[in-house]
This record gives sequence, C-alpha cells and structure tokens, in this order.
Amino acid sequence: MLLFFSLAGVAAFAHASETVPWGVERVRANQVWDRNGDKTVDQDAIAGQNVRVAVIDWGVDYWKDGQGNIHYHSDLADNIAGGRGFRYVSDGNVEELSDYQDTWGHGTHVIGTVAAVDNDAGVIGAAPKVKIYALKPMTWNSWEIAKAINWSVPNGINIISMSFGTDINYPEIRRAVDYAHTSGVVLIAASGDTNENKILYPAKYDNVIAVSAVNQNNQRWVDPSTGLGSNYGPELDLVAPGADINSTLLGDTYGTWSGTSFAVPHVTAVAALTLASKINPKYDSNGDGIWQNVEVYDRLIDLAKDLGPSGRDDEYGYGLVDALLRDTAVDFATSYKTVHGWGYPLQIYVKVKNLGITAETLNVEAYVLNPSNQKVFDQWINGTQLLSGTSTTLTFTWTPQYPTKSIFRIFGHTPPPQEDIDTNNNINIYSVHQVNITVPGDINGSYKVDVYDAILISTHWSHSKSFESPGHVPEDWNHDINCDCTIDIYDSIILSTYYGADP
Amino acid sequence: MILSLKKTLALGLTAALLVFIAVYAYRLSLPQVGPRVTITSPPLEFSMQLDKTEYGVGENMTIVFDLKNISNETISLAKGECDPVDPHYGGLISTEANGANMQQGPQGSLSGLFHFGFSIVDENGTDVYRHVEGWLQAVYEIVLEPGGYVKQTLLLDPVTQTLIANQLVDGHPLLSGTYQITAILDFSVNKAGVTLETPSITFTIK
Repeated sequence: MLLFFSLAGVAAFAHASETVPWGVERVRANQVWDRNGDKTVDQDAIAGQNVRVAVIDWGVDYWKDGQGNIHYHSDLADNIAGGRGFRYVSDGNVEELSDYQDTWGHGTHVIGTVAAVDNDAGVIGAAPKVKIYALKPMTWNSWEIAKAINWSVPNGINIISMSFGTDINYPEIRRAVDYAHTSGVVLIAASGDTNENKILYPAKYDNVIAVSAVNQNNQRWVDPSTGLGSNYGPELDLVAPGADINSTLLGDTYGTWSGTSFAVPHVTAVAALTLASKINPKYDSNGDGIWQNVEVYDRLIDLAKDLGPSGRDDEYGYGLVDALLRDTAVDFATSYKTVHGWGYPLQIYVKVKNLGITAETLNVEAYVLNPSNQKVFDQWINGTQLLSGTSTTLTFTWTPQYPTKSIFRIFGHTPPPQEDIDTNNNINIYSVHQVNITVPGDINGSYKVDVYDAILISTHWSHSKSFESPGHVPEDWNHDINCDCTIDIYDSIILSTYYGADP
Repeated sequence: MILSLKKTLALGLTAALLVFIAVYAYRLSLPQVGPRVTITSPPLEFSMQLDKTEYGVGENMTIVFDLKNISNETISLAKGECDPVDPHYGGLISTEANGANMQQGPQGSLSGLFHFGFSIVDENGTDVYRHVEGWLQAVYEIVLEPGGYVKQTLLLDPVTQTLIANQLVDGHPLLSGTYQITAILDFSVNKAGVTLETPSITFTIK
C-alpha cells in the first residue's frame, strides 16, 4: 500500500514497492532495459552504463554524517558520481565549491527521472545505470552556469541536462555551449513554462536540443489550474512527458511535479541509452563506429513519434522522444554468385543483424523477381528472435524453373515490427537488398565461359565424375555446347573431363 | 552618607551616558527603515521598502518585498519559473508568511524561493540590474487567503549581485550616482497574467 501524505501541496509518499513512472513508460525506456516485463533491469540490458550525465540544476539531496560522509537519497545513491557547486566571485570569475546540496528539491526530482536506481522502493529512472554529476550554480549568475558547462568537458561528461532557461542571450553561456558541443557533448535544455510562442536560452541555441512537455494524452502540456504550460516555437526539437511526473524529492521522499524541467530528463535518459548502445551505421555519419553528439541528435529526431500536424511543427517539434530504438540490418548472399542453372535448388542466405538496443522478433522474407518484375519466388521465415547486437542467417531455397536464360533479381527484407508501424515512426528499418542472378540455359552462342559455366559444361557429357558433384548438377543436365566459346584455364581443366582424362 | 556635589554630578553624567548608550544601541539593533512604496491593484497590494536612501560604493542594500491579498476571497498566484535561494549563498534574509500556502512545488517551502522581482535604472533611465524571472522551468503556486501575505527581505550585494542573476551588468558595483529601484510582481493570478510595478524609490550611491 502506498502511504500518501500531503507535504505542502505535493503528493509525496514513503517507500513502497517500486513503480515505473508514466513518463518512463511513455518514452518506452523501460522496454529497452526490461524486455521480459518484470519491472526490473535485465542483466544484459542497456541502461545507460558508462554514460556520464551532468545535471546543471539545484544540486541533489544528501546529508552528511558526523564524520562528514555524504549520504544521498537512497533511490539515487548508486548512480551519483559526485557534484560541484559554482559561486560567482567577480569580474567573470567563479569559484568551485564542494557543496552541491539540493535545498529545495528541483535538482533531486530531475535526477530521479534520469537515474533513480532499480531497487524495491520508490521509482525507477529512464536510464537507471547512468552516472550523474550534480552541478549547482549557487546564485544562478550566468557566469556560474557557463562555468558548470565548461567544467563538464574536461571531466568526461557525455550529456549536459539543463532544466532551466531565460529570455536573455548571455554571451558567456553561448560560448560555453559552443565549446561543449564542439567537444562532443550532447546538450539538452527546457523550452520554458509560460505557455508562449518563445523558446528560452539555452534551448534556443542551435547546439542545444530544445525540449517541451506533453501530458499523458500526448498533448502539449498546459497546467489546468494555472494556465501555464509548455513554450513552443521554431527552435523546438522534441517533446517528452512533463506533467505530473513522479520522482525523487528531499528527505528520501517522492512527489509529482510539472514543467518543461521534467521533460528534459526524459530526453537526457534516452540520449544516454543511445550512447550506451552500438551505433547503427545509418547514423554513423563519420564512419568511426561510435556515437558523436550530432549523430545522437539525428537519431533522436529520426525516431521521434510524430505528434500534431504531420512532420515537424512548432508545438511538438519532431515529436515525442522514443527510447525504443529499433534498427535491423539485412545482409544478403546466395549460394552461388551470379550464374545458376534452372531446375537446380539455389540457396538464398539472408543475414539479419539487430542493430537496435532492444530485442526483436523479426519476420524475414526472400523473394525473386523475373525481368518483368513478377514474383517467381516468395517465402517468409517468421518469428526469428534476435537480441540486441546479434545476427543470424536464414536460408531460403529457390529452384529456378524453365524457361532459362533470364536475369532474376533476388531480394531479402525484414519489415519493421508492428508496434513501430503503429507509432508512425517511419523508421527506416525496412531494408531491401538485391543481387542479380543469371540462369544461362542453353549456351549456343559466343559467350565468355567462366568456371561456373565450366562445371555445367562438364556435366553435359557426364564423363567427369570427379567434377560432377551430385549436389551441384542434376543428372539430367543436358545442354549442347556447340559454340564458339572462350575458354580460360579453369574451363580447360574441367573440359578435360570431356575425354575422361585426368586434369 | 552625603555625597559631594562633584560625585553627584559624576554619577549623574555616568548614568545619563549609560542611558544614552543603551538607547543608541537599541536603536542600532532595530532594522533601518527607509522609504516604502506600494501599488494597490485589487485583490493584491504589493509593496517595497529600502533600509535607507544613501549607500556607499559596494555597500549592501536591504530590500523588503510585501505581497498581500486585500480581497475577501482566496486567490491563486502561479509561476512557471522558480528562483531557489540557497540559505548559505543567496541574498534572501528571511521569509515571513501568513495565510499563504504553496500548492505546487516540493517541500512547501515558501522560504526556499525568491518570489519577486525588481529593476534598478540609472540617471539616464538605463537598466543596470533587472531581476524578474527565475531559471528553473517548473510550476509552483501560492494560495493566499483573505488577508494573507508573503513578505521577503533581501540583501543585495551590489558587487557580486549574489541573488539570482538576470543581470544586465554584473561583476561591478553600482558607481556613484543616483538610481531608481522598482519592485515587480509577475505572476499568473487566477489563470490571468498579472504584472505589477510599484512606484520607484530614488537612492544614491556616494
């Protein structure tokens, strides 16, 4: 039973069995690390491991014992790597402090949405194995904020989460943002809560992902009691849950809160899950095999669930951020290269690799088109299960039929999982690969004959048992080879079988 | 025992001096009271008061903000941004409230936030300091009962301006000159945006 009590207007409750907040489910983060649905993080799942997130906010809840040891909120402790305070001195100088204690709760709430741990109490965050650094500007002087951003770069931060904003374009913050972005950091910030057509800084900068909030109906969040709500505008990139978000608060408690502040950590967490996953070549723009910040941005945008008017719009940006990053690659091969005889079974090998960060159940198809684009072969193998990062090869068998001497095109593909179709993601995981294959048939003519032809040639006479592999050539193969052929050395070896002599 | 006239006079003077010192010390212990300005816009009354009107360069200014519900109905004031103030590093000295409750936001701490705004302009009418909106993008709501009020006392360090930023000029003390300060209230009141500005107070830096 949840023990609710009202603490100054916030619904807070003591530890009970752990719950998955609605926002975590809405962005489908839990489907990334909880494939079996038991509401715990699967052992081998991607949950943000080794990703370092700086949350520039009002610190994090902790207390010190008599020996000066820090004790964090029990639902965050395992994921807090440390923190810093920043206090403006003068003339653009800022001093670093060891104090980053949250005295009000905002920072603790934001951090909980990203990183509340998987245990038997409270809530679970959307990326429950990231490492958090709580950075606290003590007076919200713009230089303190800039210093916190700059601190992140040499300290190996991958993502900076900024649930704040202002109307003013401070040059020092702009410079810090550009520096962090150039250094490869993903920056995410809140659009603003005044229900206006206005995106605040730093979200407004090109190098920052601007995030607005939606409610549980996937509508732009507008607070029913106050009329306040998500800001919108041309710089908006993504939306995420931001209404009635349940997360951690001071004193080991929990409570719900609303604002674009609380949409930001959802996007932060999805970015962390992305960084913890193997990169899909589709997004690997520089081909280095690892995620760059711009590639993370491309992927978040590409896979967002479109809301509002079709395509990007000012109220929802590119749509609702989605953690369920499904991607599947298809490689293709056949048992022979380019020439094959009719009447003989041809193995078509379709290799499918799951490049996403979730397990997939795939249906894979192979089909063959003749020169008139008619399907002469179509076969499905359904229900293939693939864990993230794994691959399998499926074998299809097609036996070309007479008439011969045609060029066929062979295709393999796997369509997107049904649930992704429902989300209108338009995910480009529908992969089509093709090869051309020629069934030569009768070779009365002037051809260049290669080794494969030669195998067929040798079978014509059925004299060369050493080359006439029953698995390769049917016994009834019988073609005229009265031709003006160009024979290379391999053909000649094979042709020697015509006389029954050793090569 | 009969005291000599000299001793009597000496004792009298000592007593008078002690009384004077005590009175002076008592007066020093009282908060300095400077000019106060008020704007009344039912259902709200919003006031600002300075501790004095003349300051030295780099001297702290104490500003008191006072918001009161003067109607007979309970009203709701909401903001979409928050200005948390750290008790060790911010400039917020005290918060006094009666008939005021926070309906959204954590821990119900009215004293954890600075709720008001103000601007300082120089003799040319140029903003040299402006603080109106907070940075953190979260909703909170104050419900004021009839007669309820929230009063906050702020210490503005004009050197570091260690309040909440939104500064236009920072890192430098206010130079000698004459300035005007205006208190600003910017809330959504019963779902309608309300901005109130008090009359300005003129002060000088010498």
